[in-house]
Amino acid sequence: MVIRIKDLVKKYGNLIALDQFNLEVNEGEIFGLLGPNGSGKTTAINCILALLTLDNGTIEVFDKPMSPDAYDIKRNIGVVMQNVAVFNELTVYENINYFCGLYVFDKKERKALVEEAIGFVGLQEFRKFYPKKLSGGLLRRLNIACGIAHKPKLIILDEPTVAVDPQSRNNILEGIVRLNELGATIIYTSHYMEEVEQICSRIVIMDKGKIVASGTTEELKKLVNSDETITLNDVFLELTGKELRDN
Amino acid sequence: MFAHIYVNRLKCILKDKQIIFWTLMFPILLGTLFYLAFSNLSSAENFSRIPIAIIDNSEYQNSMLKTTIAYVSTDSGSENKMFEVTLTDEKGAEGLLKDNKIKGYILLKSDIGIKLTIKQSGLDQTLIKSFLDTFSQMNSTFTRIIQSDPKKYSDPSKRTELLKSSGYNSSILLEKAASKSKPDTTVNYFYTLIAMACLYGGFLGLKEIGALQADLSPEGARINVAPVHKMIILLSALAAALTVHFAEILVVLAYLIFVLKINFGDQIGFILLLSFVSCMLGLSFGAFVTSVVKKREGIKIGILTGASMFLSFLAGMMYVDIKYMIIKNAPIVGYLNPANLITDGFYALYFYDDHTRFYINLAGILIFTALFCIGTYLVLRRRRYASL
Amino acid sequence: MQVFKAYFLVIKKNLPQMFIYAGIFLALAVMISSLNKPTPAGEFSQSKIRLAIFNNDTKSQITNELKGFLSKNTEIVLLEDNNEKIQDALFFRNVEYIIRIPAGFAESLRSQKAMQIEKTSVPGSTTAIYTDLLINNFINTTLRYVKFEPLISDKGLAENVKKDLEINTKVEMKSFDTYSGNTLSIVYYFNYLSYSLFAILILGVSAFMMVFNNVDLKRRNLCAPFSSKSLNFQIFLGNLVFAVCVFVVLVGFSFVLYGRDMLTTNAALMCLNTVTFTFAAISASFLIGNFASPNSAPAITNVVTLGTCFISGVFVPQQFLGSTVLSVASFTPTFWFVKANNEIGSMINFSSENLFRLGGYMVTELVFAVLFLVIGFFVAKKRRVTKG
Repeated sequence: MVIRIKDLVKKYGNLIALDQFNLEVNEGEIFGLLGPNGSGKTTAINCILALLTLDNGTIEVFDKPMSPDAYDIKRNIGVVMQNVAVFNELTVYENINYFCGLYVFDKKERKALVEEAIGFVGLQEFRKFYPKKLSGGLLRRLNIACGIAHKPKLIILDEPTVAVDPQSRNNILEGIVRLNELGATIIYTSHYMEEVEQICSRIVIMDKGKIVASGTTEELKKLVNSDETITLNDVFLELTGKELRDN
Repeated sequence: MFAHIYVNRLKCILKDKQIIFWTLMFPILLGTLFYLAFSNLSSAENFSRIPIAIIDNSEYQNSMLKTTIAYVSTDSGSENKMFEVTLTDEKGAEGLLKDNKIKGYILLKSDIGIKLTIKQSGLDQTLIKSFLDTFSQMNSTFTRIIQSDPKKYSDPSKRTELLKSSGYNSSILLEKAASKSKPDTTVNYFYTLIAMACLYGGFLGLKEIGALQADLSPEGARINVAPVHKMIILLSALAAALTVHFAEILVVLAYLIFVLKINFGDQIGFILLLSFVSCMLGLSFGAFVTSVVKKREGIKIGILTGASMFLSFLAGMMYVDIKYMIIKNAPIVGYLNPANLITDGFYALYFYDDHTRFYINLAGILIFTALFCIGTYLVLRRRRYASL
Repeated sequence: MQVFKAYFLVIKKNLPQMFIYAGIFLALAVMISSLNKPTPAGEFSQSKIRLAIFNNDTKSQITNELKGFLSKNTEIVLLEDNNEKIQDALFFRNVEYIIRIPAGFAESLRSQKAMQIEKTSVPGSTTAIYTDLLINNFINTTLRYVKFEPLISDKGLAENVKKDLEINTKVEMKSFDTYSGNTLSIVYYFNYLSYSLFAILILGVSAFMMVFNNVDLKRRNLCAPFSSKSLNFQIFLGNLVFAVCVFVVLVGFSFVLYGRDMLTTNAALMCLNTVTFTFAAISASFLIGNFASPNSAPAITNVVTLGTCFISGVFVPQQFLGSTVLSVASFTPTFWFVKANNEIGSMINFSSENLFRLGGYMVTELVFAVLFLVIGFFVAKKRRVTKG
């Protein structure tokens, strides 16, 4: 069990963001976390990463309790945040090198890993570029490289393909699948149903801080309507309602 | 790990043009401006002639006053041109005074003696008065001397000799410095400038704390999920900031001392020590404000800028008398003002022979730094956030 | 009127920073006005310097007389003859002038070879110059008696010198009706106001211009169904209203601070001068807003405002600035604003000649306004074309 969340409660003042949230993620899965705006996806992720205070419940990662001091656990986690988290004053290479260096001390090893990461996301021609000069898609690829360069066993990606051109998106999705094949467990959140449908082995749909449905794509489709050919998008809207959610 | 973060933060800071401008270029620009503005001050015993008017009447025309004034006014060939004289009547003189064309006018009348009419008090008016005072006093002296031996002074040659001595005016005063340096007011402006530059190091503190707090930036969040102790990250980041800041202040100091030739005294070691400690103060101040103020970045920048300017102003940056006003009326404010502590620290090195005052200021700076550091640590050590 | 409304939303966002500038200025103004206490009308005031005397000579009539004479014209401060205490006193301006009468001084006077008196003073102090004159005068008067009446007794000498130096020129202070004692303070206030006004205007206007010139917004606006004429008009209106608000706040505060003293022709003229300056400032802000970016705006604001204010005589009076500095400064509207203010401040005769000259200064400011506006439009147009 890579992640085990039990009875997690997280409140922001009076607003309950996560309500008795339970989750289990197995090793080797590409796990999809879906939900409308404000359902608690990002909150759940931040809790898993031990960034937020918990009001109740426990979180275990790699069968050990997760905390900000759990460095051995953290060493094996890679994060690709929703907001691009790179330094504008460092080049592509320097950025990846910096963040990888927080995980890998050995210079030689790190150098190899950074080169690999650059190759992996296809940014070889852009190594000396500064983030300001990169397009949206390239930036996202850089963001990913920074999160996975140290070859973590658990990779969490929070909406990694927002505003990305189709070529880059395809490249990213293929890359994620490859990482999974190489042995990483992936947690993936997105609003793009086709992506989730394409790569995730198991999906959980959240709403208002609770899990509304979970299972494989097929199982979820069966939950709603077993006759017509429906998409995951239809399932989603069915389960969470069509009204607009503002954050 | 420390070195890794240190080097990378160093790169980030050095490439941040905005910060480098504020902490390096701006003090240099401002220093140059100060220099231009003050350059004339010290050499400005630029004595320009005082315009006066004299009411023309028969008494004046026949008086010693006329001769004496002629001697020191522009028409004469002598060196001591003190006055620019206009002869006119009373109404004309009044008009000239009203119109600011003259600083004052003189009336000589037998029943009242000499009368000076002015509009407002000031140095020029004081000088006119003192000239007339000296004249009258000398007259009195001569009269007394003549009266002491009328027989002797009935001889015109003896009288001439007496009157000639009015030209005898030695300067009895010998300027002596109270310490190795003269008390100087203009250097204070430059010391407050350094103080402000040091406080501007707060922007570097802002940048560094921002880059490692998950609730302040996405990069900060990324750093918080890494397997590194926060203290290490904090210390290495601040060390990088301190390195850059101290280097910049050294450049500013070098510019002030070697290019603008401002006198800081010659105790290089202590000057460096004070600069280093002041950099720490500015940095920790910025870090503290960043951690404690839970509003958006614009507000924090506003607070840092405003506070630095205001504190420097209280230390006498735009108007040196403010500093003395505070010392006289509310001395505690002087000790509670970090900018003032830095400024006085430099002045103590320049002016005093011993180091007591310097150490007092240094201690004050260290106490402030410690308080800011502790405050920052107390806020930052929380590893989890209530919200991001 | 969407654009007009948007203008003020942007201003609102930047309010905190503007408050800081305004706040610092107003605090400054209050402090400076309390420093420049007006001299009571009708009195010639001679501010007394703080003087300490160390007498290393034996008690003699003449040195006593010197001490007595000085105590009438200065504020005698008792000070311990300890180097550290002396340095402290000078540092904190508890004493501004120290003289040390050497041993054998009285003797030396009698033998007509006067020894020199050591003096330490704070330079730049105008009263120090006057005190120099007093002391020299005393000594020279004494020497005159000694030379021409060598047999005079010590007592007689002291008495004669005393009587001579008691002679004081009569001074009449003419106060012309509309002149208020606070006018000098008000001049300072308005001069400083130029700094604050300019800074706030640049901040606000450039903030709006930057938001507005933001490429995406611009594209949206250019596609919107209202004419560029209406667009420009709304921008112009926004600028105008903003400028008026800032003007009212800053000038209004002067009425709070100075009350009835503002009800003079001088003050009214200064307000008028401020109006013309505001036009120039707003046009300059418009120009700057057209090429500043969010990163460079604070830097440009500070450099432009501080720079122009320094060389134009806001902080250091114009009379002390070098001629080159002033020539450069004359290419800024601030220079003419300050020049006009200074003249208005001491003006009593509002003759057509004077008013005409003042008008010239104000028209110069307006010329700058037009110039900046024209250049601003030119830059804006160019940007529209190139950056698309």
